[in-house]
Amino acid sequence: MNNHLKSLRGQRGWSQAHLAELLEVSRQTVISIENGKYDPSLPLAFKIARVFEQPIEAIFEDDSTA
Amino acid sequence: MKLYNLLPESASAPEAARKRYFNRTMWPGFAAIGVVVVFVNNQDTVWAGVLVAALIPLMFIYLAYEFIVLIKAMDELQRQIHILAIALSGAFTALILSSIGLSLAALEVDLWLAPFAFPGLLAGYYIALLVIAWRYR
Repeated sequence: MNNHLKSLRGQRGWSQAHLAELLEVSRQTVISIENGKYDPSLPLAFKIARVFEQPIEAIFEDDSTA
Repeated sequence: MKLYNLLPESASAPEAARKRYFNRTMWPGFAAIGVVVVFVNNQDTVWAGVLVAALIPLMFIYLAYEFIVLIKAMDELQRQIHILAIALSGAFTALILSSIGLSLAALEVDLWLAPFAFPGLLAGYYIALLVIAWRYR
């Protein structure tokens, strides 16, 4: 699954540590999601969408639709 | 290098989990080492044997409890890494010890392997943590 987490975070000028704090996860988890090494659970994906005030499909996209 | 970096995937664990690890897991660990040292220096006495026999099951129950609390305090990726590591380590330790045990039995060598189970599990857990955490980098 691809995601736009890094660019969205960059647009807001947030650090990975700050985003991790907002999402209540570790910084390593944010890094892994940004690098596409880990696909978050649905609850975490919803939380990410709420933090960025975007629909989930604007942040994550399936490989087959990319 | 900070001390808690020695345990993979714990360096960025929530602050509360790290503090708990230091205060409630590491210090009892040092106390357990102290008990072993006392036992080694008093092997001929009955009380030392009784003390160690009583403390060993309590120590394992306490470690299991602390492990569950630590896992619950982690986020979903860290939890996945730790659970996968302990599962792989358990499976490999059981497989290796069983293989060695059967081979030794076939060779009629009398060696008690049970004491190696827990250290083997911990060693495998640590190695698995390093490998699995590295895959998520």
